[in-house]
Amino acid sequence: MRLPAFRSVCAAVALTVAGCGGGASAPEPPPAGRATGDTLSGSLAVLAASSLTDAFSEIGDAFRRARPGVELTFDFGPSSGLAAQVLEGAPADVLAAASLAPVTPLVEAGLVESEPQFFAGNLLEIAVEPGNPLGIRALGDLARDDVILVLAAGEVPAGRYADEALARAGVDVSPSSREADVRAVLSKVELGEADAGIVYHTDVVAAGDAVDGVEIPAEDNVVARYPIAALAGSANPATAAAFVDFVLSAPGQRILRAHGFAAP
Amino acid sequence: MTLEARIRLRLGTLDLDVAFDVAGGEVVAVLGPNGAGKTTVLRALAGLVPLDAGHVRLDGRTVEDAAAAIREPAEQRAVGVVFQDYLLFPHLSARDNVAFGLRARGLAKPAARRRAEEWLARVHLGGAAGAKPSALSGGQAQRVALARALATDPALLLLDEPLSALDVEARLSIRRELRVHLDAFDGPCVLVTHDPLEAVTLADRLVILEAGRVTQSGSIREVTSRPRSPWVARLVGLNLYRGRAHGHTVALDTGGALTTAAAAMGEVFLVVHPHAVALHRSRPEGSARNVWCGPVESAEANGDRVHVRVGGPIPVVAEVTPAGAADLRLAAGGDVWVSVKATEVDPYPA
Amino acid sequence: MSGIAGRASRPRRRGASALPLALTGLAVAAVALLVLPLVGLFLRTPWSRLAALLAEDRVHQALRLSLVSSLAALALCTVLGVPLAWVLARRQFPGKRLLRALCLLPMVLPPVVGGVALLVAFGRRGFVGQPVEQLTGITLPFTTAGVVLAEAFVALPFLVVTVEAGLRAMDRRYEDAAATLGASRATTFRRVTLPLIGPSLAAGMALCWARALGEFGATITFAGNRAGRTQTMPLAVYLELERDLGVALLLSLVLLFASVAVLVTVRAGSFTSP
Repeated sequence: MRLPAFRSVCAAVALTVAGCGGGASAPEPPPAGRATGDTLSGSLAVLAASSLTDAFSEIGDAFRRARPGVELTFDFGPSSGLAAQVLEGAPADVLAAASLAPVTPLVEAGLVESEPQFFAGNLLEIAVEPGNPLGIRALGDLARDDVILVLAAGEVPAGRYADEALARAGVDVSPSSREADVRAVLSKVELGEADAGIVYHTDVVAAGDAVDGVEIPAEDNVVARYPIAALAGSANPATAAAFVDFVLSAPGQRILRAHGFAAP
Repeated sequence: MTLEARIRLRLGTLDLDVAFDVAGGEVVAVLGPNGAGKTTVLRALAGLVPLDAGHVRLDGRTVEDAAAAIREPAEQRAVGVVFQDYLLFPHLSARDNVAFGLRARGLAKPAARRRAEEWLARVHLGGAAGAKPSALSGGQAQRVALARALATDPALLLLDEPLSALDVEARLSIRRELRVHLDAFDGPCVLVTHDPLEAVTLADRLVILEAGRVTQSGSIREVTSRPRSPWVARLVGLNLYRGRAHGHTVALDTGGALTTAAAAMGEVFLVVHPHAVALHRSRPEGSARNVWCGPVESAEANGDRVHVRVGGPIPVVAEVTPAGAADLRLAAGGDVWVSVKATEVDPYPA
Repeated sequence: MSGIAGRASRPRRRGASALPLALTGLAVAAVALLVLPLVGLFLRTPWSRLAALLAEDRVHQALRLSLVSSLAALALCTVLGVPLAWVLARRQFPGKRLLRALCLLPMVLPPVVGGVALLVAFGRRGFVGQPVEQLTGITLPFTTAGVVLAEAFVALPFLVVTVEAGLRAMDRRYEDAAATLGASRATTFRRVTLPLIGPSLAAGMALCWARALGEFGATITFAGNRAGRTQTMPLAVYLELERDLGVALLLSLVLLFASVAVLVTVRAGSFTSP
């Protein structure tokens, strides 16, 4: 069973249940630091790419502190999978993807409230075992016979970017596996099943001591630009817009930087 | 070919301790009530249940000896078994069922099938060789089971209630056929049953098994005319008493005394046939030495006779004519006088 | 007296028809639950693109790999599972209940967790996998053998449970009869026990194979995803969902038809019903 789908269903159920009870709450005091004129309450379902897991969880905590009374739920998964759910009519309020490609069909279908805005950038990095025992220094080393390499599947943004970076560097690789999402690539390296994998810089940061990172030079590297958009089908457009603003604002950006994201 | 069986074992609540011998060509019926342990005896002889103590010797050869830790598993014993439900392999034809034992013992498939067909012809089932067990009638299945057991030329033949699964009509014809095959079999044969008719018509000798112990064994005549346990007595329809004889008087274990024409000493059984018991409404005068009074417990019509059960100090079953029963108004109950001639009371050592 | 017949029949008839009606209603609901999603699948599939898709290499590779690995997993499960079922059904020993619970564990574990467990045991750093790699150079992750192992892991309980039930239900006196006819234990097992549990065995094998064929979480976690080597059809479908829903639906149906074709060829239906 696909985890994001399952979680979407739960989110949908939670939304429905919360929506039924939401109307009876007393008006909230106006949120500090924001003059919006309308009170923010109810629940918000945010669909976000897996690589945003740690950063957005922290952003979520900060948002909840700034806006008590908003019930915030996250659904993390591959960007294309999340976009497909929105296309199929899954109820959600905000979508933050790892690339623009999956979001474009939503824009064409009129499913986004306003033009998607880029809020973060993510550079690719090679993840290797702590201590880098195989001495991997560049993309070229990934083609070595003694290196077990895993990449994200070409169907997901991380995979496409990895292929692009390798093409730019003129390196021909034969990966042992193309994982369903970039987090799976990371865990294969963490578990020691793979010697190297191309992941986002933020993944290397999030993994802490479990992996070491090898930088990819700027001329070969691909910057993944992350778009965020409030969705047209949102039951809570004001709150959705507020969340998007928060992500784009200084506090949100600070959190993103701390997790390794670059400027968009 | 002889069988020497000394079987002692405990299985669940059953405590079995039996000893008997069977000569070559002889058919011994182990007869007893349900739960007596008859099937367990058979399974022990077949090697399906180990002995706790004792031994089994076939033709002088020790097949199992608990003390010497010798035990031939079932598949090595040359034993043919006809099971109560026949247990024909449902996925094999009659022919392949009969051929099974031959093939298991190494005979090639074509040769085994030929032998199987010979045996099926012998039990008059030549045409049904290709049929599956589910397509056979009870009588046919029984014959296939017999052929299957005999085809391997066993040294010992065991039959577990061979006729009990058949309806009454099938039983008659199968019994006749079975007798023929048993006569033709020259090894020892043990037949286990709870049906006295089956035992009496198929066996040469009886071994009575009750609650795991042999209470009596001997020829059919012996056992049926001189029962040694209440169960057997009930089976053959005789009144049985046990007591201490001193000359012509026997003091019964249950109280009271009987006079016998023949003299005896020590522990004895006494047998009185129901038709030797006369009933009266008042104390009879006459030559009968045994006269007593007791309450009428029941009166059952049985063909053209009435069996009257009289209780009291010396319980007895009397056989009278319907007219006699009517005359005495036995149906009304009450007390009745019983008289038995001393010449009709037969003592024999216990 | 005449009223009795009428009185007795009326309430009995109403009561008698209520239960079958209720059961039929529930049965219809069950069929709906099973069939409606399939109907939905059929209706949404872009059939016109089927021909083009079937010409693609990766589809052949994924389909062939799925069929080969699932059948290999089935063979492994049968060879290992039947003896295990026999031990569970026939032998008494301390800790038997615990063993049976352990055998059912893969059924209860989420497949991805199963995949992680397999890595912990048989991965390059696994407590079995590491010494094996050092001694023989053999690794299982990222190989087709790894796919077979992952599929066997999740599918084995289905076979064991079904065959064990069949062995328990079987009349053991047939084995006694075979013994008295001179058959060794091995011969008895081969010529009497196995045929008698035939329907259970066939049903168990069908369930086992179906489970292996559809397995996704454990295979991708343990064996990874590489076209031609470890990318089975379910993996291809999942990844295709990221890209093209229509193609994903088509692939699902290709797998469905392939499975039905195999089942029909083997006449599995006739095994499961006597």
